[in-house]
Amino acid sequence: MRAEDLFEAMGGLDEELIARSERKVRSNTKKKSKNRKARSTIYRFAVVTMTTAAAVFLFLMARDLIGTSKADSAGSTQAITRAFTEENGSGEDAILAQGAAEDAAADTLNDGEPMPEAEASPEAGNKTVMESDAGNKAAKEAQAEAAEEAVEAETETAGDSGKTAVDLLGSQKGDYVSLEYISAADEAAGGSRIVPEYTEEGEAILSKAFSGGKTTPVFLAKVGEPVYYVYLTKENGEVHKATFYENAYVGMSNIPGVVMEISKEEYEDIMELFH
Amino acid sequence: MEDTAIIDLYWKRDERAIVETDHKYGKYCHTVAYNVLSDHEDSQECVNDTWLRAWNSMPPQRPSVLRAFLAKITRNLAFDRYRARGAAKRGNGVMEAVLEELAECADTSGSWNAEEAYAAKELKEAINRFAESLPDRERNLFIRRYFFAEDIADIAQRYQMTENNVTVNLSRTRKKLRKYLSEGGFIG
Repeated sequence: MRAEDLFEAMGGLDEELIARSERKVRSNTKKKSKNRKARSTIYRFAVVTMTTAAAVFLFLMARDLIGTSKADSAGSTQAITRAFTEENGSGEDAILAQGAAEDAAADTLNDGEPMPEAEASPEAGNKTVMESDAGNKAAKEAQAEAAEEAVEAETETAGDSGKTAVDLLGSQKGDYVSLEYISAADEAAGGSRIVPEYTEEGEAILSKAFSGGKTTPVFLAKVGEPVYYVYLTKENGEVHKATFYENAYVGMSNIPGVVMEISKEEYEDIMELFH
Repeated sequence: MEDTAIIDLYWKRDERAIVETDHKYGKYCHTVAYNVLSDHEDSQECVNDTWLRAWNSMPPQRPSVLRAFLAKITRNLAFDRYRARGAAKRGNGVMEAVLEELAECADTSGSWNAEEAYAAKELKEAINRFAESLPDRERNLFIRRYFFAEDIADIAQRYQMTENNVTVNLSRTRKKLRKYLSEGGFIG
């Protein structure tokens, strides 16, 4: 028997057997195709995920660069505009004004006794969660007390019209309950804040200054040195600090990273009002 | 068109059967023929012969798997054509390698005579039984190589194996076949 005879005999293989072999081959190809599809899907998903992650990362980097990383997560531009223009104060002003609020709270809580946050010393690492909660509670209470004090101070300065300093904000008053101001120089020297008297002229000036305008990232604006600080306290004790800069810009502590440009005339009027 | 519909056309003696078959299995049959002949022109002629053979076979036959049925006709026609060629024209393609490999299982000193129809039929049946007894993977490799005369590289790619792995696997199968044929009295 020759090899050719054998090969010829192979030609008599059962069709079913050949078909079965063919089916195996095809199902193998299908499996490969399925695997390829799955791999391709995973690859596409990975690419999309990576691209999204990269975009988010870049966005966060950019946001950090312009200093808005601490801004309310509800949205930067809208929040900025709202904060400067909103009528009723904002329920979204979730960020506490760190400096002013805590200062006020500390003063009220205990003279000379450090704030819970101020205790952040090497020992602070050993604090329990309960201590931390207690600290937060104390800080809130202190804020509330500070707000009450501020309101009392406001009431004391109320004129015949019954309007207080906070009414200088006019339609921008929202849920602010007190307004105090202090020059940067005085604050540096440890001076006290001043509660201004309400005047209609003052309201016209300040309400306009707080009614919004063109906002610019801080690093793009040549704001100059801070000249005056205006402390605005809410009912819940939250304090927002407005900073008036020498080059006619206003910044709000609850909207870090951006400042609002006001006109020279407005700026002059405000300086005159505070002076 | 579904295979059953094509077979129906053959049975109705409708010439569209050949058009449809060529449309669906033309390339496939060409590949089967080309594996044996290594020549496109010869392969195309072989495919045309296949359509004629199929036309003459259906009816009375009604193949359960048209694809395999056509592959078998093409392969056997191609091999007839291959044998009809002179030794010089056979070249040095895959077919030569396949025959060389099968020579390991053949034995010219035996009493088996291919001219006898009975003996040929017996051998076909023996090979069928042998193929059926093989595990799936081995059987597939065996059929791809010795029925379809496929190149080792193509088989390796088809089954995602290395060429060496395919070669070793086929070598083991050939040894089994030799033993099987020897036990069946086909070779000495």
